[in-house]
Amino acid sequence: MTKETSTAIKADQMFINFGPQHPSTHGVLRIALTVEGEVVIKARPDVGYLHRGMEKLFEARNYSQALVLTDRLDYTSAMHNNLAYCLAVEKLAGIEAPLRAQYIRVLVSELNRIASHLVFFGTFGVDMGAFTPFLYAFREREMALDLFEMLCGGRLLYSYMRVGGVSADLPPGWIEKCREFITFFKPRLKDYDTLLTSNPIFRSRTEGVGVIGAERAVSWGLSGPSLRGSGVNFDVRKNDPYCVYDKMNFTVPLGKTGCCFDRYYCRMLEMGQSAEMVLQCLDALSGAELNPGEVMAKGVPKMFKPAAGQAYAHVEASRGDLGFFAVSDGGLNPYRMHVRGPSFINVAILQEILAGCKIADVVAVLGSLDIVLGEVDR
Amino acid sequence: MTEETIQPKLSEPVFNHSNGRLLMPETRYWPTQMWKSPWSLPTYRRGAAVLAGLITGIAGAAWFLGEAGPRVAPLYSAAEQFALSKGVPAFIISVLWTFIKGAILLAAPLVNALFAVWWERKISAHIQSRMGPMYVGWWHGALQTVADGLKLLLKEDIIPETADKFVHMMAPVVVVIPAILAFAPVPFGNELVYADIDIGTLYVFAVGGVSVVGIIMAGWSSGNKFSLLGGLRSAAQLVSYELPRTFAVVPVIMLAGTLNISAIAGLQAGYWGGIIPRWLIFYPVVGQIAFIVFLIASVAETNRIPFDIPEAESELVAGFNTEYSGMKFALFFLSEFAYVLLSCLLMASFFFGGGAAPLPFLDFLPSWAWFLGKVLILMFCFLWFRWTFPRFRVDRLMDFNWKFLLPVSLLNIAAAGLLIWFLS
Amino acid sequence: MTTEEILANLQTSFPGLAKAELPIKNYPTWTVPAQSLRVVCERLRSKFSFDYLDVVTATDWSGPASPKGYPRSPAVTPGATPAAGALARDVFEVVYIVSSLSAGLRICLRCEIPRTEGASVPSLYGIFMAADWQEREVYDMFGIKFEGHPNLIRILTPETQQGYPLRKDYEHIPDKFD
Repeated sequence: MTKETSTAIKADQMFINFGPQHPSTHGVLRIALTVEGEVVIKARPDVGYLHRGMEKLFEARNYSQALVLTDRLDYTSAMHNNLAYCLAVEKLAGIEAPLRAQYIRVLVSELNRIASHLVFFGTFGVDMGAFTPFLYAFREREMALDLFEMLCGGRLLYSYMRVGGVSADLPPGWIEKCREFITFFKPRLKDYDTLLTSNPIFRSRTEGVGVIGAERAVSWGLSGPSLRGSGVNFDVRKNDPYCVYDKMNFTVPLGKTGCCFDRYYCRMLEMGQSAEMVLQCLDALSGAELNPGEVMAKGVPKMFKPAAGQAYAHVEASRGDLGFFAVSDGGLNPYRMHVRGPSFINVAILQEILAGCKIADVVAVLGSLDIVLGEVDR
Repeated sequence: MTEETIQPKLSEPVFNHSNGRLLMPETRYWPTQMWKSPWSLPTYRRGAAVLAGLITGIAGAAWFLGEAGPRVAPLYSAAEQFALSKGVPAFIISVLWTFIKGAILLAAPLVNALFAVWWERKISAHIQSRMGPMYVGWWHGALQTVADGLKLLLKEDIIPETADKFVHMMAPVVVVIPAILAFAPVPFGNELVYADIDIGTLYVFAVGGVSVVGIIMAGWSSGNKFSLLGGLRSAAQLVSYELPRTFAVVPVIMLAGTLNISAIAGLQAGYWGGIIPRWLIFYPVVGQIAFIVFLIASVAETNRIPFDIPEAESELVAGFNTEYSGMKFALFFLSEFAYVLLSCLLMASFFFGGGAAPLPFLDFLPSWAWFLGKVLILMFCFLWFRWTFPRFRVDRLMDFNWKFLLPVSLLNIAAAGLLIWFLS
Repeated sequence: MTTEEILANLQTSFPGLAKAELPIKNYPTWTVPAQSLRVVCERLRSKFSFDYLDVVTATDWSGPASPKGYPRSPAVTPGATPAAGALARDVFEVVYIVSSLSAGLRICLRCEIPRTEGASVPSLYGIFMAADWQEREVYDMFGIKFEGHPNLIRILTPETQQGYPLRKDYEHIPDKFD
């Protein structure tokens, strides 16, 4: 965090602090904008207002306790954070989760992707000035959260996964409830399209705005829908499959130009794909081939000491490639835990693409990158 | 004592002791349950019945009360006679009468704001599948706005340190006074008008345009960059949209041949073929285009979504009224709704025949009731836009005005000329 | 082209490049000397299409974390034998993960530098723009300087922050926020 004052600004330019308290920075992001009238000349994102020293906190907890910290990273898709952490620690300790647990992990992370993208859809609409999509999105998100509540008691921070599996099997009646949600949810995607996607004002606000070329996107290390909106076919689920994603049947939606609309629409299409994957997982889980009740690897103690070593595991979280780099020195606590937060890396590109935009476009670009400050600042 | 099984409360989650997890209670409300058959729900049927009853009740009351305008004249003459008999000079009577009429007129935007805020909240809520205010007041949060108004009155009035204090204080006044003054020549029914002046149309646009100054004052004096941007945006927007808005009325004036608003409304009485009302909106092409241009420009003039860029909350925090609190903020709010009401009254007068009934046999309702009904329907359109559309970007907004609305409204004037030539 | 072949190819020009003894699990891991880091990455990007920088991070190997957690155990004096932990040595290890999106390959690069106050490695700023903020974060947390980074300032912690929080010998100095 640095200070930037208006001393170095020319007379006809204006310096604006966009945030940290601003309705559409989705948290406490600050963008130092230099504007000339309505046009942004220079933008410098400034992060760190929500820094909690997460990586230091990991070092002070044992592997089971540290799990709850991961929820607080990207709090709208806590399941992915749990999963990435568990995968990294499992790799480090040489544990493998049973197949049923892996299916459940895929199921809940796809369900969480839907819930998380619904937040994006709603807040992006609010950023564009359309308030109604927000409440439509949250109506459906509420159902997904009810399902999570049934599963683990939490509605936002789940801590559902464990090193070696998941904390408990699906409760009775959950599969039917989940199917009911998916059958309700799929037609709603068309509603969203008629409400927002096909709106000419919305299109004019997003199409051709904040264009990120494929090469720039890769160079800046973007990931997730923000990268795929630029037409780069990179998805950890396909590129470096984990759990049972290699058995799943899904496509990865790609954008063409890398404008705000492409990034937005990639997310909308991803929700449909996630719904399909949830159904596939439910089909697999409702059969008897996956032993019901066997959701934890055998013999994983509450406190364990992985052998000295380093491991890196990453998952496709809602916002992109979420990686955990774990180092063990053979002790009870992680010696070092690094989180590759996709939001943190995605938000860095703002300094390049915001120059030349209108002030209204700042909101559109920021919204389309879909950052969560809990993960940016860690 | 009878033996009772301990039932968990249905509204609370059920704790499953076998696996230590919370089970979703059966009463947890999912939209799927409602969407299966919404009409079967008794609440919906009850709601429809209440609505039908309300409409019938209001229509009945209006029928019972009858025309308001013609009753004023005997009332006035009776009062005048009484005052003259007591030796009050005639000019004092007329001045007093003007003040009384002014006070009644002043009540219109105030009562309108009370009602419109509640109505907007209810409509937005139902568009967004929620309930809106439900607790304050006896019926569906009817007194919510009163409570909010009281809250705004009691709130601390904050003047920022960097503000230009006098201008900051004057800005809401400069905004709200023209908003009330502009109601003077606008009819609320047959013969129900404060000042039946011949240049009414010009007067409304001229006085309404003054509010821009207040908004720029608010933006500039707040000492906040977001406010400043909002003020400048509103200056550009309001001045631009003033043009198509005025040009859209030109065909109306050409067809009616007068600038007097109540005369324009009165000219639209009667029916073509005894069934189609002779409203200006039913004049082929010209009427519809004029109406649509006027509607769009009116939405822009009142700073409402999709044209609310001066106060765009997601870009400029709250634009020109970011630094306003308490009653000053309420005055901005009041003027916004006053202008919505004014636009709806103008549209009802210009395009929907004022107080004329849409069908000949519906004449039994007084003109003010029809006026009110038309205004409410048009107001609903304003609210409907607001809760459906996203916001324009500032440059597209200007493009839309200068490259589309203005040429269309100019062409429409030419078309109106052709129509008049064809009709004569 | 497999990573083995790429390694063999690169080793002809950079003899310091070697396979790490203890790899980062399930990914090919190489150790790179600091002075050839930038050139190796440039070569990887231009010749082998490793165009995506996943991760830049670092580890302070100066000693074990106190199992009690906060506050940290006292600093390990440089040169002296660390109290416990077999791996402890007086180095910073900077870790890079680069990947080739087209070939689907992912390589971890490890670069050990002596643990001094002015420890520095060359910056990858010009090669991967993703290095911009990630290197700033490593600088913020470890105080490792990235030579050639145009804007190497603290990113997550306030600029009034004393010391580098993720160093194992970091001790919190109470400030006005405490």
